[in-house]
Amino acid sequence: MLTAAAAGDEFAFRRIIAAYHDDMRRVCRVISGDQTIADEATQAAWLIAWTKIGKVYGEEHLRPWLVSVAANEAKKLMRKRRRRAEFETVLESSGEPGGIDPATGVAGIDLDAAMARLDPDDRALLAMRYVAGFDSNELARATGISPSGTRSRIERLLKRLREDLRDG
Amino acid sequence: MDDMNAFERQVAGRLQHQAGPVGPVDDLAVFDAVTAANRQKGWGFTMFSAAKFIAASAIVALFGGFLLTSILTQGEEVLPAAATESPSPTATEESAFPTGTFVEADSGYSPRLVFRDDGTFQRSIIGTHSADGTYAVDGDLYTELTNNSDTPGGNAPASYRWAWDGEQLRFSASGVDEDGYRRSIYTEHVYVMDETSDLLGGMRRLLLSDPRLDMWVTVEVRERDDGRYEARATVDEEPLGEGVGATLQDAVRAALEALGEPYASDIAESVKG
Repeated sequence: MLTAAAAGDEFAFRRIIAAYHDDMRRVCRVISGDQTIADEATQAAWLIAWTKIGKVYGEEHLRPWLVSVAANEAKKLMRKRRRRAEFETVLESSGEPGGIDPATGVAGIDLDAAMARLDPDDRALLAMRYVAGFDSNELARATGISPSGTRSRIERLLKRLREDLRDG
Repeated sequence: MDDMNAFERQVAGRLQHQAGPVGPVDDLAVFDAVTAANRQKGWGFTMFSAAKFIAASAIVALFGGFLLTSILTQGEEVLPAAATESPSPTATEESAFPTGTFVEADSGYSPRLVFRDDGTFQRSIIGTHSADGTYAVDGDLYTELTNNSDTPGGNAPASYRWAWDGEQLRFSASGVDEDGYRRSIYTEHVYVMDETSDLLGGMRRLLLSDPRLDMWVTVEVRERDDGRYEARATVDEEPLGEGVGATLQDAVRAALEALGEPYASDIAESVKG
């Protein structure tokens, strides 16, 4: 599919869109907290993919590359629009009933707020892991960190969130 | 641990909720929007159209003879000395090959090239490719001497001419490079210095590792007014340690103390300057 798309096969490119668009859009949604930014970032990522997909080295790199391109576009749009304050508002207002999880004793709305305070890069990492379902190797390809590095970074993020909630 | 596992599940659940529902994708609509946007970027046709092919062919025809001449006059030397023919327009005897982190001018993040004072480099395209190795510069000729790339033909030395005008770093072909991936990284992009990651206020940022460690350590070092050096080390942006020393190596070793020996000393000794 990748080779065909790189060679200009429009149907192959459309199959790639069908396969990965949702992962990209949902990861961007978590990073930005804004559906408009998520949609625009994903569309911008496809434009980049259309012109540069031939440079992707191996099928196993395709999904991490697409999602990382979309994530970077989302971060660029966020910087442009200076939406951080809005982001926090959106998350708070769009949260599900923030009930307390009996297994953790943590209220969902508090957890949302804690995650909103994370750096966009950290949210991107969590989104790739828990929304797109990346394994360590895919995370490594998407972030440039080693597989073990991504695992330890996620562990540290979870720990930081836990401490943030405990302190808060 | 159970508590943490439950917490991880809750985090995953909240993120899934934030991400919104999984929905059907109208791939045709997305594709049409992409090709329409691509046309608006100025080509007037899609990237694989015959018209673009013709335009590209014309460019190749115009410059092909020049490149062929350059290759033929290169002789049998693998690493030609500073060339007298066709010098890069902005590379002069006064200009020095810049070190630091460079990113593609258009995207601002990828591809990314890191050239260090100690003659090591790293080139990467986010998510797809990364290689580390050593380089040398002779006049306006930049040569990758060694690398750990896994791309076909990628381990052979390759030379490119470089030009740096203080803002943009460009490479052009000089001889044959069998590695199309590397060729693309060097010749198809214009790079600008990533101001956020290097040489800020006299501070050097070093990306260091040891073959026995499955990790990279970022060390920021600077010379203080009293002539001593101070270093601050991080791993994946998390603090690792800080140190001060009479030499750069002493400061780095102190900052890396948490890694233990022999790693701290071996890595510190690899730092030059």
